[in-house]
Amino acid sequence: MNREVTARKKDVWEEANAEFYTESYPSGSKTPTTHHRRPSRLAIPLPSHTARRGSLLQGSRHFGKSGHRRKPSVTALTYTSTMAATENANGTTTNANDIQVAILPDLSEGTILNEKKTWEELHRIKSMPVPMTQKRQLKAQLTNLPKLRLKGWSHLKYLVKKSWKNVRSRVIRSYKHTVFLHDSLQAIELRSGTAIVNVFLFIKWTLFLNLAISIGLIIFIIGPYLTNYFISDQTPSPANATTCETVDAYGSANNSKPDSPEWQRLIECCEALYVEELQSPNATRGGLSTIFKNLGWGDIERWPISFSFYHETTLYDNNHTPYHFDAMYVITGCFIFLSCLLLMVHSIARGVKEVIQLNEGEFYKYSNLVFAGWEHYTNDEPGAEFKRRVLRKEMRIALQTEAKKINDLMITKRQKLKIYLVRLFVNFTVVVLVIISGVFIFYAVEGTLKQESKLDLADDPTGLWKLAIGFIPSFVISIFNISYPLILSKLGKLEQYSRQWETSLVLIRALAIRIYSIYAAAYGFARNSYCIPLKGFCTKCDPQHANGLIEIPSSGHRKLCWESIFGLQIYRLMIADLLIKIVITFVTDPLRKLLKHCCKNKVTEKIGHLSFNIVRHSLDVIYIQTLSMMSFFVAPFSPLFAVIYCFLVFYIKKFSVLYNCTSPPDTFRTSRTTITFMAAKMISFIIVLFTFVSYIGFMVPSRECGPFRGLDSPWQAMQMHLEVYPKLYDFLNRAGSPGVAVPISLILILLAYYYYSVAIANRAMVETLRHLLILEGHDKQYLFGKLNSLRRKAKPEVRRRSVFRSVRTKELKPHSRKSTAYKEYYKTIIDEDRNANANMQQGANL
Amino acid sequence: MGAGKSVFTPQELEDYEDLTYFTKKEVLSYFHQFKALAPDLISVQRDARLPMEVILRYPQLRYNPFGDRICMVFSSSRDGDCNFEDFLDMMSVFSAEAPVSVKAEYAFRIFDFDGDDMIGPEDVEEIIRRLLGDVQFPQVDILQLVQNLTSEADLDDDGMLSFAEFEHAISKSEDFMR
Repeated sequence: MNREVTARKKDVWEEANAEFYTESYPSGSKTPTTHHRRPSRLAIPLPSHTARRGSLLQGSRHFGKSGHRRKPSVTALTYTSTMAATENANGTTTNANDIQVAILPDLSEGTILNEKKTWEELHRIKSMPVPMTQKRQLKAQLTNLPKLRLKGWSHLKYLVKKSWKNVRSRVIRSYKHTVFLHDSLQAIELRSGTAIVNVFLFIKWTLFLNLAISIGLIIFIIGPYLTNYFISDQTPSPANATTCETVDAYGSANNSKPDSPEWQRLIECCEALYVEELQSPNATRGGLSTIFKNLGWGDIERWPISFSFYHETTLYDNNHTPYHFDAMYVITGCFIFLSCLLLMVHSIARGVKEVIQLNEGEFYKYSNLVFAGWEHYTNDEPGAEFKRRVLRKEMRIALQTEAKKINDLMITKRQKLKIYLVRLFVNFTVVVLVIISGVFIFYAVEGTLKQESKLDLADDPTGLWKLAIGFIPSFVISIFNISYPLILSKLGKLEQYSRQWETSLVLIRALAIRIYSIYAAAYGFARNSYCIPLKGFCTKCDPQHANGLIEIPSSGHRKLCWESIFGLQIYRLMIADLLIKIVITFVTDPLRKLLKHCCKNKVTEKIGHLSFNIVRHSLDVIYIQTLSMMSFFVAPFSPLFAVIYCFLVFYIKKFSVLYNCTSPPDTFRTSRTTITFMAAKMISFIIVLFTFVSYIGFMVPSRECGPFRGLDSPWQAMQMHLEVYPKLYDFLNRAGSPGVAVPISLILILLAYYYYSVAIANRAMVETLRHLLILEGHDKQYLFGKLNSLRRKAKPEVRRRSVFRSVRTKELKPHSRKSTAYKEYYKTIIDEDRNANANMQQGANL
Repeated sequence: MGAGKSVFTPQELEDYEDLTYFTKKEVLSYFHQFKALAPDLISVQRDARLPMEVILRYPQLRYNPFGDRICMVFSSSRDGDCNFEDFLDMMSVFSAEAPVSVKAEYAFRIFDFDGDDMIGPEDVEEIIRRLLGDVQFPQVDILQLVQNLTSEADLDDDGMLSFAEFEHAISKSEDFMR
């Protein structure tokens, strides 16, 4: 982008009157090392110099960091003050004086201020770049002026605005200063750069998101159930288990209504089976349940963390008002997804803005590098040193990217072919690796489930073996998650893409592997434990529904209360992940560091080289978020688990950053990676959404546990309850039909097209403005040159001032009066000079 | 906090709270930190000016490569010596609540090493050199960086960055905005 712009600038340069510029530059121009010519310095201070700094924009920028409102009255004020200040301009040397000159017109205009204006003026004084003593004087002046009190509606508006501002700043302050995290974030920022801090901010955001989700779940699902549980002491009391001989006796129920008596009997019998299985000592329901039994905490599936705890369809409180638990469960789930979507859209909007900036060529990466360093306070020497290294690395990378771009232009056909082949090979390898990992995980899951069912109490009295086996799939997944990004980044280097693309590709591939691993595990589990059951039976599978992809388990039955088992598996996955992280951060990495320090050879150097891999750590967070959102429906405590996980992981990673990783991070954070992170969040969210929708709409819930017993799908609970309100039901049906959806999507497409054309028009305008700016700049330099040469001719004996003033231009608006003001001004000066010359010459002649 | 409160009159505290981006508590805590730099001087006379070397001992400024420029810009006597009000100004601009326009203004002054109201190529070169610290890049690389920066941010093609161009470049760079 930069090259295009410079090329365009050069074109403009050539277009506009080249001969004018070549002669007007002073011969004493600056060092030959700089490419751009220095403009000639003018000894006369210009009106724009005495104008208030940033006054055009500052008027609209007091509230909030991104003020885009322009107040026309302020601009008019400054233009006139610019012109008016020409007489006063006398080579003032201090900035403070200039600004004071420009301020006075405001207060001395004699307008009587009211409360609101006073308040706004106070804010304006606060943001003025003058020393404190002056600000206090100004404030004293301001408060001494007579003030009107606002009345009625405007008073109300003023109060609302003021209190809203206070509340907002307080909320933002408290979010930023969250007691336990703020100090750590500061410590990390002091030590490393903003790129790393972003990862930790992401962890914090995820933590709060999960906290919000778990609060929602507690309010609507867990809370009511628990209070009901303690109030009315409802333990499921199934029919006498001994009377339930064979489940198959309850024929094929042709009527699918869950209220019918045959279904009721069936469900009671299934519940009896379930209770029986739970109580049997040979129960093989996963490692966690064995641990719980051994610790004497009873059945894990009777605890609130498990799906089978939520048994009742409707809850009644003391007044016998019904709380339709099943419908509320589904509604809460949908509501949570909606709000997550809204939150994500908010954070994605920021990413989109960066994407647009990149595309318009407006991401100033060098300014970013250079100018952002001024306030980076570091409290100690190692931190400062680290930051310097990061900066050096980023600068080197930036320079290399430039060089690479030039090299790429000169590449030969043969090299191109070679590179394409290499890229194809690498892509192929990546796909193969992903498939291998998926297959591996799938077999691991299947194998462990089979093993677990084989191990009975005789072989394994403590249950530890079962536990260990049960953790194997989780460990396998974690190992893949950790090792693959390393392999991928090595492969990525082969491909010789630019750094941005390389990082993005590694990120996409690592994300693909993570999500694929979750779903491979889920698929393995589903193969073993889930199928669509026949209508008259508890768990016997319906062979009609088995197609190539979805096979039925080998035993022909699905597991009793499969949701509960699935939830437990997810918990186990999370715990295993956390354990592995702890082990790696506190055991393996310090060992690697020690290795590097003790024996100095090349191998140990490589092993010991630890840097904070931003990609991997961000993906960790996305992974845990995906897990939590995928499973909160079957394991209501999983967002809470995720909160604890995020909290612990924050401190684990903080330890890793501060003590383990000593070299600057590998990834170059650019807009491309921001886009990719945004895309990663969006993709994982969409996939989780699909899972949720398929679970609610298409999977048959367990017949023996949970609030959806006997229904075809959880969504049916909603439908059943909505049927009570036929009008609402009708309306919703119509709203979801194609008759409504098609016109809405057409309208959306039209809107998108409109915004697209507006964007194109704006882009064209930006180009024109840029062109204008350059032309104005050249005009100015030409005029300076002329002026200087005239002055030199006129007064050769006058010493040039040692302090030069330069022109301060403000943002020029399209039909800028200022540019013509300049030209007028210079014309008058030139005429004046000419007259003075003429007079002098006449005087000399006389 | 009681001891701190007696140092300032309520009117002064009110002024400080209104004119900086701090609350009263924060103002007082910064006063204590300022006092810790030279306790004997400040306890005698609250408005004493501390010389630049003493100010630069403040932890946030000590390892900042632009520490001396910061002191020069904020010092009301223009020679680098700051009293408490200058120090408070400094911290207020550094704080997270200060808007970007204020930070941009002061950053411009800090970066303008030769004081000519424009950030020219020599200024940029000096900035880069200071940021790099001990390990320097070859001159060619530095000039390349300077040129890249200037061609990015200079809009009217005069070879230097005026304040408006600087502010515009800042608004496009994300690190500054945080």
